Amino acid sequence: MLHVKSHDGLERPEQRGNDKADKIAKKLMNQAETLEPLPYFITAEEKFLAFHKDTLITDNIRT
Amino acid sequence: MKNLSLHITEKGEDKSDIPEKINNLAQVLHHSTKPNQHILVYTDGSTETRKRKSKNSGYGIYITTSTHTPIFLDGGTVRSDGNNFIAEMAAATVVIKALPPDRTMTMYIDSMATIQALRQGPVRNESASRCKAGPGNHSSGQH
Repeated sequence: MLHVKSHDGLERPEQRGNDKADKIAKKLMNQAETLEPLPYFITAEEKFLAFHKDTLITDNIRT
Repeated sequence: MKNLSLHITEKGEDKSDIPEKINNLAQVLHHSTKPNQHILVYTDGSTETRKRKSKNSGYGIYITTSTHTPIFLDGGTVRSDGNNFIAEMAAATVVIKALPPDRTMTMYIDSMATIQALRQGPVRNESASRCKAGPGNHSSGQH
C-alpha cells in the first residue's frame, strides 16, 4: 500500500490513476446525493455495533 | 442524567451492496488477469462536506496491469454520514476482498488514515469476544 497525494498533477502514472478513481468517486457521490440513506456497510466492522438513534457510531464512542 | 439514545447491537447481515461489488470485481479479476499477475490499484472516496444533502458518499476503483493497461474502472455508493473515511475504506475493502489469492497488487490510496487503518488490521477477536450483548442481543443505555 502506497500513499499518493491527491490533485497533484497528472505527470506520473500513480497521479493519473488517482485522478481516475477520484473522478468516478465524485460522479457516484453526486448520484448518491439524490438517494435515500443507504444501508450501512458493516462487513469490516467489529462484532458489535453502537448506534446513536439511527446513526452508526464509527469513531470512539466516548467522543 | 441525560438520555443519549445509545444502543449496542450485535452485527447482523451487511445489507449494503458491498458484498455484491466484491463478487463482481472478483469475477473481473479472475477472468481479466492471470495467476501470479501483479496489478496496480487506485482507490478514492468522495464525500460532500460543505453543502451535504445526503448521508451517502461515492467511491472509485481503478485497476490496471503493471504496464498501466486498464482492467477495471467502477465504483459505488455507501452510507457515510459525512465521514469520507468510510468511503475510502469501502473502496479498499472491495479490492482487498475481491483479489484472487494467486494475484498480487500495489494499492495507491490518497488517505493516510485509511492506509494506517488497513496496516493496523482488524480488532483482535479476543478483544471482541470479551464483549457480550445484552438480552435479545440488544441493549440500550442511559448515561
